[in-house]
Amino acid sequence: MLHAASTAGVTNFVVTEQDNVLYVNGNAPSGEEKDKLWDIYNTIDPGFGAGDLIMNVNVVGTPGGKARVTTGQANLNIRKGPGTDQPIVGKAAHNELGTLISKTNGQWYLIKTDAGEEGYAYAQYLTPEN
Amino acid sequence: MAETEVKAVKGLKSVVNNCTIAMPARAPVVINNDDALTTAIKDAVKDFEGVTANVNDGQVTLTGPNKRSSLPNLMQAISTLKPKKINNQITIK
Repeated sequence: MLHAASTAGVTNFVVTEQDNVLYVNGNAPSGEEKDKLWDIYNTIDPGFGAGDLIMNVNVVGTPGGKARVTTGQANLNIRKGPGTDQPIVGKAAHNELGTLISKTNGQWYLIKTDAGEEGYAYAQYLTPEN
Repeated sequence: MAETEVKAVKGLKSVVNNCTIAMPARAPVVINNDDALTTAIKDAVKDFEGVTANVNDGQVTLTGPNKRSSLPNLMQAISTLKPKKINNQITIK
């Protein structure tokens, strides 16, 4: 898996072992490459029950760039602030392409849809397209 | 290697090797504290109905039923929160 990550063009790649847990951090070049790494993890440890790996490899988005809504099927809520306790101000459809305005933190991105709706969406459901 | 070279010097009876090998400095793993994890985890598991996440000493324990197909998504959502460890006790439904 580490070999796959290095050949897939993962940048800022850092692997650390601490207290019998392996921490893998880095920036994936695309959502596809990120998914491949998770597929390998899922093959090595089906069900993710071993608790010996924390893989935090994410696709780096550039502010001003595009990001696709990668929910399962549902629409993505756009909220007034970064938190699920914040009121919903709009929705982005599954697979819709929006503009990434800024990355508030690892969990929340400020986005704008092509329809002009602007607000915070959960980063896990957005895949930046570089 | 240094010891071997010094031992080769004529006239020396013995060599005491007190050398230590310098290890490259490595930054410790960034782990979020329990308060930050507890706050963030509410958002992370919101869309995984029936899943409960408990935080203790940086470790996240996941319980409840979840589909196998969305398990990687759940693990990804938790992994980005920088926990110390994930104890996955999810039952596959």
